Order: sequence, then structure tokens, then C-alpha cells
Amino acid sequence: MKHFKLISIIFLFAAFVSSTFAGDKEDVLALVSKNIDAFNKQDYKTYFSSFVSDNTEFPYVVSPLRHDAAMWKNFIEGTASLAYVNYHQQDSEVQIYNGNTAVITSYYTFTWMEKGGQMNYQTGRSSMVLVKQDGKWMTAHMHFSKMF
Amino acid sequence: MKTLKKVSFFLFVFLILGFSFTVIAQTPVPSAEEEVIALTYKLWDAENQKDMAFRNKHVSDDYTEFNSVFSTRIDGKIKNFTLSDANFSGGTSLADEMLNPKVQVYGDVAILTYNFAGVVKDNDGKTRSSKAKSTRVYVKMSGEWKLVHANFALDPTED
Repeated sequence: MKHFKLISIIFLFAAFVSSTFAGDKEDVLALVSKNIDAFNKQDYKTYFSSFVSDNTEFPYVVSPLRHDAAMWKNFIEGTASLAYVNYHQQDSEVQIYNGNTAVITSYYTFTWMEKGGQMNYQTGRSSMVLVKQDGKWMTAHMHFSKMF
Repeated sequence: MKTLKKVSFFLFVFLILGFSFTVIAQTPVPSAEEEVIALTYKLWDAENQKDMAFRNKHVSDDYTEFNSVFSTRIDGKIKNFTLSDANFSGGTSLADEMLNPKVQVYGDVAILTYNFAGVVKDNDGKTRSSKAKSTRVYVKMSGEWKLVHANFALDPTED
């Protein structure tokens, strides 16, 4: 019983320490995960709460042109007209520089259903650049490209 | 007379110094935006001139890349250089241009995005053009910009 108590205390302490001192990589991945979740739930307020005001994006197929913040907002909010969206990212790698810049590279699948019931599927590669502003990680740029 | 000479000398020195300071003060210091755009053109030039030392200096060891030749990410500077050098099919680059460039600067990181437009003359004398949508991420390390990541993707209109 004594041993059990001691092990429990050590376990709880270790869990507390690891959560308190989670590194930049963990913080960045948690934010990306939160954003994906918000997008899939079509919660655009939460989604855009962690973007810098001058964010830019290269979309996948829509255009060869870079989107600015307003264009990206219109594009994302336009997905509200879809019956279902699911974006999934895997094999993410994080590069951290100077504690204030993160480059996240991943492979993604994007599935969406139109109101008429037609299913669509897309797979590709994504590059994301996050910067720390006032102690908070913010998305500055995303580039989605074809995985051929 | 001696005093007049001394005064003239000091006046002359004073004017020269004043002129030098004015010239130095008016020499425009390149912005971070200008620096990374200029560096990118220099990197293209270095690749065409086979100046591997310059390329090596401005690409970080942990550089990662998505490109239009290989599907998955290529990790590390050495692997990227090995593959890009081996994949080079010869010919001469006639033009490398960035269209519609934009640089976002946040402290010591600069994100350069542009549409690439290039023309290459093949070994058989034929010219071909290439176009892409590109992202380059530069980070300032020890006072120098280094490329840490790039996504060189096909122009979707060529898809």
C-alpha cells in the first residue's frame, strides 16, 4: 500500500512536471491540432484566433496565386456551405528556431461532402510557419501542395 | 598667417568628415525584405555557377524541402544537395525570376513567397520554361540569413 502511494505520488509529480514544462514542439503541435479540430467543426472564430493579421497561404489547386489574410478568410468561411469537412494531418515534423519560429511539415488528407451528397477527396503536403507573438504561437503562412 | 593656416586645415578636415558622415548616413541600409530577395537571386546564381561554398553557407544543416520531383519531404542539407545535384539534367539556365514576391518578416524569421518563372536551354538546344509556387523560410543565425525550409510546388495550372 505504501509503495502504491509512493508510486502514485511520483507518477502525478512526473505528469505535472511534463505538462508544465511542455516544450515548444509540443505547444506548436497542440495548437495545430486545435486549429484542425476547429476547422473540422466549422468553428472559424477559434480557427482564426491564432493567425497573424498579415497571414498568407498558397492553396492546393484553387490558384497559383498567394492568398492574403482576407482571401484566406473568405475561402475558409466558404467551406461553411459544405455538408461535411474533414482535414487530417499526419507525420508532422517540427523545426524550432530561436524559440520563436516553428516550421511544421506534414502530409494531409482532406475529405468534404457537398450539400448534394457528392464526396470529394484530396491528399497533399503542407508547410506551416508559426511565429511567437506576445508569448503565443500564431500561424503566419501555410503552403499546400500536391503529393504526386 | 600660421593661425589662418591652422584654421583652414581644421576647417578642411571638418568639412571632409561632415561630407563622409552625410554620405554614410544617406547610404540606404537594405531591409530584411530586400536582403532575402537578393540572397535568393544569389543562391540561384551560385547554383548555376556551381558555387557550392556559397550555397552551403546559406542553407542550414537541418534544411527540409518539398519539391516537384519527389513526393515526400527531403530532410537535411546533405540529402537535399545530393538529390538536387544528381537530378540536374544539364543545360543552361537562361533566366530565373521570382514574380509576385512577398516577404513577411517577424523578428529573425523571413518568409519569402513568389511564383517562380524560369527558362532553361537543354543540352540539345531546346528551351523550356518552368513555373512554380514557392515558399522559402529564412532564419537569421549569427547575423546571416539561412534557408531552413522550402516548398517548391508545381503551379496548379500545370496540374
